[in-house]
Amino acid sequence: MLHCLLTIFQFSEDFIKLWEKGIILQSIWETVYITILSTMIAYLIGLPLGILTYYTSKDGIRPMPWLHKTLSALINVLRSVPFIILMVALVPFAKMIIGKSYGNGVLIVTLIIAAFPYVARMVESSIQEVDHGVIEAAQSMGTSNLKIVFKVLIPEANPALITGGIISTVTVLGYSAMAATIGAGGLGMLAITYGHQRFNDDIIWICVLLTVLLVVAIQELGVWIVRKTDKRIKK
Amino acid sequence: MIKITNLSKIFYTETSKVKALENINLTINDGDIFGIIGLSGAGKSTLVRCINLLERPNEGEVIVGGVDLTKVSEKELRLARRNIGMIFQNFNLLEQRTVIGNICFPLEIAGVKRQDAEKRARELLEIVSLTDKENAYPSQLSGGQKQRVAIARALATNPKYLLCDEATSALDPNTTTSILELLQSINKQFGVTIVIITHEMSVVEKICNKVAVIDHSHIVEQGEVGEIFTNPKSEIAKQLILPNKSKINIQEGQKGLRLIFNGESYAEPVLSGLVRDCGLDANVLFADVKEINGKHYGHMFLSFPSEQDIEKAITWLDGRKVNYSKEG
Ligand SMILES: Nc1ncnc2c1ncn2[C@@H]1O[C@H](COP(=O)(O)OP(=O)(O)O)[C@@H](O)[C@H]1O
Ligand SMILES: [Mg+2]
Repeated sequence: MLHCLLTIFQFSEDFIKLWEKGIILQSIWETVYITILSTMIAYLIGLPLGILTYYTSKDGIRPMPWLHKTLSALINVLRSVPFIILMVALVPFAKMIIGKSYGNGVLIVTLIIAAFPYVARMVESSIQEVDHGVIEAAQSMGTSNLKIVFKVLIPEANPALITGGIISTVTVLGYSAMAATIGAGGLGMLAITYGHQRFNDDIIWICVLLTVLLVVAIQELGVWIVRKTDKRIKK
Repeated sequence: MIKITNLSKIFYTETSKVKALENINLTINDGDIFGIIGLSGAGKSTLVRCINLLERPNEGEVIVGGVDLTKVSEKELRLARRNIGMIFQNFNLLEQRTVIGNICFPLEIAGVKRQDAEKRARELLEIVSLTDKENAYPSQLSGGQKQRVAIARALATNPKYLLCDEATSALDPNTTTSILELLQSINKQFGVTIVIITHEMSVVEKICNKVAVIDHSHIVEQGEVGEIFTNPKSEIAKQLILPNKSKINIQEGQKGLRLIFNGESYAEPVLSGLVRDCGLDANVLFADVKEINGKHYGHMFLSFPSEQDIEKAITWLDGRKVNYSKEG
């Protein structure tokens, strides 16, 4: 695959120079690890938050209007701030946590903050899709609310949760391209500093292509997992 | 025994207040197959859901096996529910679990060891005749097979009661019959008391011994199936049980008798007797006679050429304790 890419990109001298310095591979790697790490931590917060939002909703397992409204409002507010604004606004907060106001760490912190409400909403809507009748059947068998969450809601919503995970990952990947604004690395930085700022269109297009390839790879992986795991699909 | 007293249920929506059940009193004895019949929106589902408290009544008591479920703690309610199985119109199986996984679910919840649960599940698969589908997923099953899995799942914890909310309404007539037969054999074999919610008279007729008729949030009539069938008193029961009058084509000036069969007299001997003994020229305009628990229930409209013939027929019928009414 890499060899194939190299052949395509051979027309671009700048690309070859950057490749030889190892900057291309370095950027791909940075994008991948920043995306995956941020998404994973965003899920650690967003998954329980999304479940709790559903759990306390009017048609949920145990309606708690106040808690539901508070959580919902928090998610909505955070979700409505454009990422680039959220990112610069969060720099002081990130500095408090990791002690620096630039670089990959700051990017990861801001990505997590931007992504967890998104993830929560995604999780909530995935779980909403679980047929209410199935939940009632479980209740009629004397299942406790906690067991309904872990033995009914999550397993039954699994395919939707995986699909949501893929969409979230791709969204985080997109956000991460704004990295250069706060001096973090990855394909976004590559496109800005080596492409845009040096009037080098080749590099910009190469970054676009590499990003598209990453997105396609993530999506294909997701589709494959869902097809493997969703028992509703007749085989 | 399930005993419901003075039960009421009101749903409050943003814009209105719906009285789904009002002052319901009902006793379901152990061993019964108890039908609850009514038109759509009458309150049947709400009533059956009040039995296991999926719906909490606003007023009244729900006493199942001697315990008032409206008064127990959540934990006790969960335990009580293991003694009350439930099946639904839409089966409500866990789509991501296999057939055996579904049947093991209530056992898992009850803390039964996996091996024991699987052993019990296989017994149940045998009872519902699905041994070859153990590892299939619900999406690979037909409606009737899904309902069989649901029945097996509902019976896993050995409940004394089984609630069925329109359990056959999504099934074709043949499958309906086979599911009803299965329920009947479960009632006979394991002594499970069954409550059947339906809007179809034929379901009650096939397997129930008792029936309650519910209309607009009220129980308007209840009793032995045979009794209600021969002598429906409420408008709604008549509507559900008796044939549509417009279906009977009584011509202007035609006189007739409606014979009523209440399980004591038999349809064929009566008709042939009338013709043979009285030499009458009776004409059957309509007949709807059913066999329930080996007895005949229903009615038959006969027309006669003259008023005299009708009188003759009446004399003959009086001698044989056949119920009738004069029509036309
Ligand atoms: N959760 C609910 N909220 C508001 N109204 C309800 C709810 N459930 C049932 N109802 C109303 O209660 C009445 C009885 O409903 P239901 O018991 O489902 O009737 P059936 O099962 O006989 O068709 C209907 O008018 C229905 O609209
Ligand atoms: Mg209903």
